[in-house]
Amino acid sequence: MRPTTYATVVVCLTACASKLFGAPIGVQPLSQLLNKAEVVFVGRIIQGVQSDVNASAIFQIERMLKGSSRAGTVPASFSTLPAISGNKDLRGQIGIWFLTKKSDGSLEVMPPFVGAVPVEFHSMPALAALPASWMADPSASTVEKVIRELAAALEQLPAGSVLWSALLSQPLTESDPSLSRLYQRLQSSGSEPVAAAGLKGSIVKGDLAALQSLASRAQRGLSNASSTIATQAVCEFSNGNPRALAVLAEMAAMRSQPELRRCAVLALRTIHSRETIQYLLPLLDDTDSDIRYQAMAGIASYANTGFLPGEKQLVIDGVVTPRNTEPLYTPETGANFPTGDRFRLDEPRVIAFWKQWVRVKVPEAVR
Amino acid sequence: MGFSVIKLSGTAPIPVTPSTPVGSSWGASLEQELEPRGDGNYRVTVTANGTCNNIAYNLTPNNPAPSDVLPVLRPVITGPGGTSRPYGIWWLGGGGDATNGYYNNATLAVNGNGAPGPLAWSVPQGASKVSLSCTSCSFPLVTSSQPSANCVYDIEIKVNFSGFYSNAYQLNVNSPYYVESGGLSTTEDYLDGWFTVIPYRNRDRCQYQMPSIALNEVFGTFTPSPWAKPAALGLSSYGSYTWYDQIFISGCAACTPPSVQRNPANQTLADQAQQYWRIGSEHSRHRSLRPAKHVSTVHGTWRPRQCFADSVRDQSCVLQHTQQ
Repeated sequence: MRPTTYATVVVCLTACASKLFGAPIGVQPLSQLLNKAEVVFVGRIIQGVQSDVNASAIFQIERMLKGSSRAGTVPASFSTLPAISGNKDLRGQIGIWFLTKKSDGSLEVMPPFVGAVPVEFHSMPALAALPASWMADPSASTVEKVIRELAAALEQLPAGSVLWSALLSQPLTESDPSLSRLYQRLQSSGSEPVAAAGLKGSIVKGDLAALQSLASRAQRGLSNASSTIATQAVCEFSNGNPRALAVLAEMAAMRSQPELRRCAVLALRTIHSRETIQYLLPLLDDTDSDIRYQAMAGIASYANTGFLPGEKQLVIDGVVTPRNTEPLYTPETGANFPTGDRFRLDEPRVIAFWKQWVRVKVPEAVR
Repeated sequence: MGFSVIKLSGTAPIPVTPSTPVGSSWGASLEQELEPRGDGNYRVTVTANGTCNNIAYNLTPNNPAPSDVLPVLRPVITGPGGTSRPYGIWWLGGGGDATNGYYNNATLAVNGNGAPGPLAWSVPQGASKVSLSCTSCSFPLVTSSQPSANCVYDIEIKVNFSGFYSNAYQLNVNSPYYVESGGLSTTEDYLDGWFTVIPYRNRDRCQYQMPSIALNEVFGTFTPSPWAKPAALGLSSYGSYTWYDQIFISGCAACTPPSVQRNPANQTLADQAQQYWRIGSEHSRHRSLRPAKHVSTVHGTWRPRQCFADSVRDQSCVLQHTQQ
């Protein structure tokens, strides 16, 4: 659960029955955490106790990331739920802590997760000492400082909880080029999850080189640690650069990587420029039903551009680009873009429709 | 500026008698339905001919000039944001999730553009997918009642003023469709027990990944075991597309934990219940699509499979479980 380079001492204070707990949780977006936080620091609990649903601690600040504290220590409370109540001594827990000010002026710990999490998850992992290779420029944003601290800690962790990787690979909204540099640093890590998080960040921002790098790695085989993170990045890729489309098509052909295939086709569908049609058309005959649907949806999306709820603009290398010079929508194209459940009832006819439509409207896509 | 010429003709009897004073005047009016003609620039040119004692007379010998241009616009419906752009709403089983931007309704307004008469709203296409709070009001609330059949704007709403119709205002109703695996789960030691995290993502009916949406879990009956049972909880929102089910059991080093059969070859379950995910609300047990079902086990490594939540492929998800 925690890097072994620092101590985690959580002791049950009283005899207690076994506790089974289950709850859905999510990652709290870092930008929201930082907006709400009065103080952000790397610190260790030097005094702290959880008693049922109440917990409080005094933190020794190792490195301040946002805000200031004249004293080297700061007190704060935690809030928990009855479902995760307990009696524990919290001394020794080290992490990145986000504290917000309550209405009475006191500070409260904000977990980096949404939902009910045990107090051990009320901070991000951190190291007692930050290696020089991870130190940020003094002018770096708080986001960058937090990510560097987290990455340094995760480098030390054995292949651990998917939650820590999720914290590191969450989308960031900072502007380039600082993010580009940060992602490059993550990619250079020897830790698979950390490198994958960096690759993901670059891919989601539309970086073609990062996408090509992932395709090369996928040809050699992706480890479990990195495949989930990197695959999701492809699902979110949206740069309509024609070279990127060719890479996505390459990924869509990797039968040994079924999840990567599905994400590559989803990306082609999301982009649905005229240039994607040549890659989507052959996938109408794929053996995977999800891929057939996404391929159909990509072609249908191009045909129905302007009539799609939530349709994203086509962006090519950061430039918004029109998909068509003239609208292609007709009531027939709209009627042949069924939802997933209806597609399964009428698949052969719908696929035949779109094959014919492409032959007429996008003849260059037919080889 | 061009005009289409529309000839309207009619007759109006003029009661002229020998005692009718010179200089008397009468008026006549002709009406035509705008609806078949729609928007446009109109002007009126009057020519009148009369017949008296079977002799035809040109009553407008000076060829009066046409009237000023009268621009006629159809009524325009606007939705959220005050625009007439099409809009997407959601069917979450009743209610919406405004926190995450999933609205199940929208308030409409109309600019009559001068059209007279009482107004009436209607849903000429997709009437089974939405309902209107009122049909003779100025600001009806359109609320989802079923998801759309297509992934385009396939619902049309119109309003008419005494039969002169607006252009269609288009809508789509989407809904969550299934819960899928968000990648490999992990299990680690936690205190003196275990902690499993299972990633999930939600897909909508057009099979797009859905960003943050409220959800909650519901448990079926647990198999009898000495282990404590979890409370079902919900989640209000989360970053990006992936959410996680965290499952852990721990006790106290001083306690005797319940015995667990450790026999991986037999895949003996330590505890089991059916777990349902309700997408669209943090709390409601009744909100959402038909439940995504999967068999859950507690303690061990989980690998969830894709689960469809509709009557066509109403299959249970199988969780592959290996005991630690």
